[in-house]
Amino acid sequence: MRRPCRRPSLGLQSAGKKVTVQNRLEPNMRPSDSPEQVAAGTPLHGRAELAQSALENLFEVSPDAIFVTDAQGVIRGANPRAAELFGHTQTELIGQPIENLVPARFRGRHPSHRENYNAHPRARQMGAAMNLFGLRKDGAEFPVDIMLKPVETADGPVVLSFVRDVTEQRAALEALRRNDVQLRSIVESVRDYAIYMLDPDGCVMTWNPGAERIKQYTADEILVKHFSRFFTQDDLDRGRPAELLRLAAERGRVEEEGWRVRKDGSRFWADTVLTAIRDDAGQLTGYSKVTRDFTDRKRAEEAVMLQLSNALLANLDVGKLLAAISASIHEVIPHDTSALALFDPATNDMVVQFMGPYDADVFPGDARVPVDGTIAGRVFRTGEPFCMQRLAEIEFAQETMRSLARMGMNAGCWVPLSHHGKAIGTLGILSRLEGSLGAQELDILAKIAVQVAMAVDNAMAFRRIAELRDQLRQEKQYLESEINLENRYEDIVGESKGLRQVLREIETVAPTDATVLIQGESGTGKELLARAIHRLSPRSEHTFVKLNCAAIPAGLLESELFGHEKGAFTGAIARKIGRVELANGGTLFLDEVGELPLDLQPKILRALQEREIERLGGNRSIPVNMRLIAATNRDLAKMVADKEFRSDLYYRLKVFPVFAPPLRERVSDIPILVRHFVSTHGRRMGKTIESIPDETMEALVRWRWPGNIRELENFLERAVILTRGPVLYVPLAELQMAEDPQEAEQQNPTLHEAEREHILRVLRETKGQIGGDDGAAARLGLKRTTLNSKLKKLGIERSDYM
Amino acid sequence: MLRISIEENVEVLEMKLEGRIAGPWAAELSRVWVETAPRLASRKLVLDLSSVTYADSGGTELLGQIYAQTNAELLAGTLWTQSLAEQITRCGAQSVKREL
Repeated sequence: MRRPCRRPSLGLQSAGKKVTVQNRLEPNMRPSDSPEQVAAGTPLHGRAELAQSALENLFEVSPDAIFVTDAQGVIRGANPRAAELFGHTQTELIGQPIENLVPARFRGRHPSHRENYNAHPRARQMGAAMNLFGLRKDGAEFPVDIMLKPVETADGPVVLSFVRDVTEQRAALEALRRNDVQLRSIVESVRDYAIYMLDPDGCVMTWNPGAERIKQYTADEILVKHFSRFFTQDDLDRGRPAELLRLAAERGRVEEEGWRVRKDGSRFWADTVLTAIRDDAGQLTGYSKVTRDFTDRKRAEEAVMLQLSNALLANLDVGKLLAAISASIHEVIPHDTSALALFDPATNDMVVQFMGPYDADVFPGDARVPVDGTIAGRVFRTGEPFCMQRLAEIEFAQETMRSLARMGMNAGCWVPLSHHGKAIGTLGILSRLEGSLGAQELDILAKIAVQVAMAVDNAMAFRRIAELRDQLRQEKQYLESEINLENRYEDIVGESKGLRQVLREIETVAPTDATVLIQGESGTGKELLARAIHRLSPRSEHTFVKLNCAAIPAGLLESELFGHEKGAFTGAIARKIGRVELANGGTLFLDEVGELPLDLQPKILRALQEREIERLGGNRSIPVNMRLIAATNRDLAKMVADKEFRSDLYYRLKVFPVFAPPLRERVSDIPILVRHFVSTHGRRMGKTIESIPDETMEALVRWRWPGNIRELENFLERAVILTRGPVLYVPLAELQMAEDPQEAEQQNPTLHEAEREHILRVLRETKGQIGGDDGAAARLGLKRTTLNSKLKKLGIERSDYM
Repeated sequence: MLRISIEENVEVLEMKLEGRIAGPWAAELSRVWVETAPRLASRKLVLDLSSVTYADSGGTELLGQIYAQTNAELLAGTLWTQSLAEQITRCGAQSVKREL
């Protein structure tokens, strides 16, 4: 260990003699090379000797000025630093009153201070608080800290004065004070922010006027009180104050928005920042809290939301939506353009519409962009919002970057649009100003997006409905044309007695609400008769609803007739209104009623009698007012006998039976029908057919037409197709070939058979009436008694013609 | 409209389809099949198509997939449903080929 050099004993330079110092320096003002440091590396030869040596050494090299003054305040010694600091030589200093080194304004009180000190000598430190100054030889003043120390010497008591130049420290302190004053003045002047400090436990330590204004407490009322009193009861119940302190301590800073409570109990919407404060050792010393009253902004946001909602609800056109959206967003977030991007599943890309300062060269207005590589695509796909604070900081596909650069957009926010959990697109806002859009704007935009998504979904649904409505309108037009086509027989063609009789019956029954049962062979025009009844009835302004019981699977017939509620059975994915309900006010035509399943027959009967139905799966009776017309080519009476058809329904249907005569019983109508069909089909096919050969017409009249009018029409349609020229060509061979022996026999009946058939037909036409002017006997040119006798002879029973 | 009725016993699970297997009803049939398939286990599936009145391409394809998965017995009545059953078996065969 190297020993420090031992300096020669200088003593304290004084007027001609050495002053030996016996006391040690106080440790609280310890220059370098302290006695302890010296002692630490030196064997003790004698503590007093060592201390004296150290002190003499210290005196020479001390960075502080050291004066030795006597009881009268005369300088008896001074070190080199004292000479340097005050600008005097050491020799000049010796013998001077110490007052000479003090600015004149302090000298007057100096003697009394000295006397007091001499009366009570003690080590005394006079620091920054006393604002002391030294005076240089050149008259300049400088701030000093002084320590006085009484020392006993052989010549009596002296005072050691350690004087330190604190110019730099004082300047630093002054700067700090000025900063503090400025900061305080800022904090004190801010009235829109509550700025205050909390201790580590959350008790309020400082309070500013802004805090007083916002929270209504004065400083006296709130200081040292816990800050939890600013929270709502809900937040207190959830332990929110302690949680916030914990989060701030963990994260350094916590920001949040929420309701807070004023002194008078009223609430305000607060935007708060709580910051933990730590000392150099990292120890938590407290928190700073900044609170803003955002109630007005909250109300404004709510107002904008309401305004937006109204605007969105009023606009069911997607194109007009963006204008409403952009205008509303602009009230809370200044931006240059907004973009609504909707995913198009048909093309798997996004349709983007821009709204802003329209410039056709810059803003495309309406564009398609891919999902991959675009910001909107990423937000749509991930469902995560995206914020671009600076264009230079993001990386997307080149075309996206070029497009943004071309528009001059340097910042942007995009949020996903989803409704009922289904992503439909994105909403974005863009700004030319870098850094102008951030987390706060993203948060507001996300709130707006919830309503926008709903409105866009509504608008899209409206568009779909409009499309469907158009489709339905077209279908309606088509069906109407079809109906018109079908109803080309609206004026039922024919002049035969049998037809005229049927038409008279129809005219009779049409104005009533009676149920009509139309019977007749297939192809005899039963539906045509039903439509004629409806058209002539008071219900003609309402719907004529047709249901062919043979065309619907038995399991679905009940649903078709009475409808069903959603979920009534597996497959009932929506409510369906049945044909009976559809026919309310109008007419229900049940074709092929003989095919109606037995278990459904009572339900139809109930609908007729009780005039109410229940949908399948429903529990509510629905009143219905419909007229039923039923038709069949089957023998319902026989079906009743065979228990294949319910008798009660049969009699309910047979209130007014109408018999559609087969064409073979309307032979005289065939030439009229032939001309009618040839004309109609010729016109439809663009052919002018001027004549029908006699032999052709005779063959057509002669044919029995088992398929009745339907067969006749189809046959003539084929004939018109085959005809080239103005003369109708009919493939007569088909009619001749089809004649089988049985048919031939029927075509050439015996006189007995012919007579029987003829009488039966007339009896049917007269509905069994034999006597009277319109009776069968009169029509046949016979006396009533003669006809009765023939009926007996030919074995004709009443049941054969009724 | 489509009505789906399921009857089952220890050996057979019969799915009777009545009406149109098209559009939303094809989707409904798909949903019902997803629910029902796990119950099938080792039982035989019978698809009763005799009251089906129409099936679009989606419906036919779906029936083909069910057929390919289960080798179901197809019941058909009318000429049209017989034709549908033939289409289903062809679809099913193609579906199996694709999976191979």
